[in-house]
Amino acid sequence: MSEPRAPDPAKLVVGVFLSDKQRFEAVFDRLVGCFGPIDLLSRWLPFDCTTYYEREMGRPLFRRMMSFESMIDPDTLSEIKWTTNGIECDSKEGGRRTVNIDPGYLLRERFVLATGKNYAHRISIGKGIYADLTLIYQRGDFQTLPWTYPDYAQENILQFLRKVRKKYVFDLDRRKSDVLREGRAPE
Amino acid sequence: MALNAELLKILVCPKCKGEIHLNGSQDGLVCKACSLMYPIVDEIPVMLIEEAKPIPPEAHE
Repeated sequence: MSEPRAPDPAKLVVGVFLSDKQRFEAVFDRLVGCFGPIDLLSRWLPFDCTTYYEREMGRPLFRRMMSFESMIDPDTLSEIKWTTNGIECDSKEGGRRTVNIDPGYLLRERFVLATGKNYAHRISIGKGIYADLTLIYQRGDFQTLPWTYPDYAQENILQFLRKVRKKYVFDLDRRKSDVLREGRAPE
Repeated sequence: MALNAELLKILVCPKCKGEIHLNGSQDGLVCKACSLMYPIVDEIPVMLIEEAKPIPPEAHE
């Protein structure tokens, strides 16, 4: 019988896309207020792999990716998605969202996004939210899956995630060595 | 230095969201607009505003 074990703490990664770049600062401040300081922020990346959001949000759309310094319990991803959904709702004008926020987490082995949309490959994680296994990490790099969103297969996103993962692994290893040195139970 | 140029094209300063560049000694990322240097530790940029080091304007390179 396998022994149940708590998952490793995860790195919170959030993608924000919008049409009006001027709105980013307010959203950024809300996210930092909710989840703490960021430790990596991307420049503007084109969001051009789909036209799905253009009717609601306009075009062209631009995205920034960010990772947060504090690690999260992966089990809290559905709550985080509810929080970011609330920020999206607050951004509405005329019933339309002006910002889209995609939270996810990164572990050594995978990158997972939260979504409210059910699909064959997505697993319910509570509160009406599903986990989308977006990328796996094998053979020294992220690997796409048949259902990976095309934008998350793009090199600019992968480059960003590689750097986030490097920082995450560094922080996680340091955290574990601190625990061993101090002889205390892991958090 | 493994922190490659492609990556520098992706990251921005977390404070002003503006351009950053590698400093001359290649141990930090500099934001000229904020006069801040974000240290690189073990090839990992530490881009926390509270851990950034203020730098005099003439030392940006």
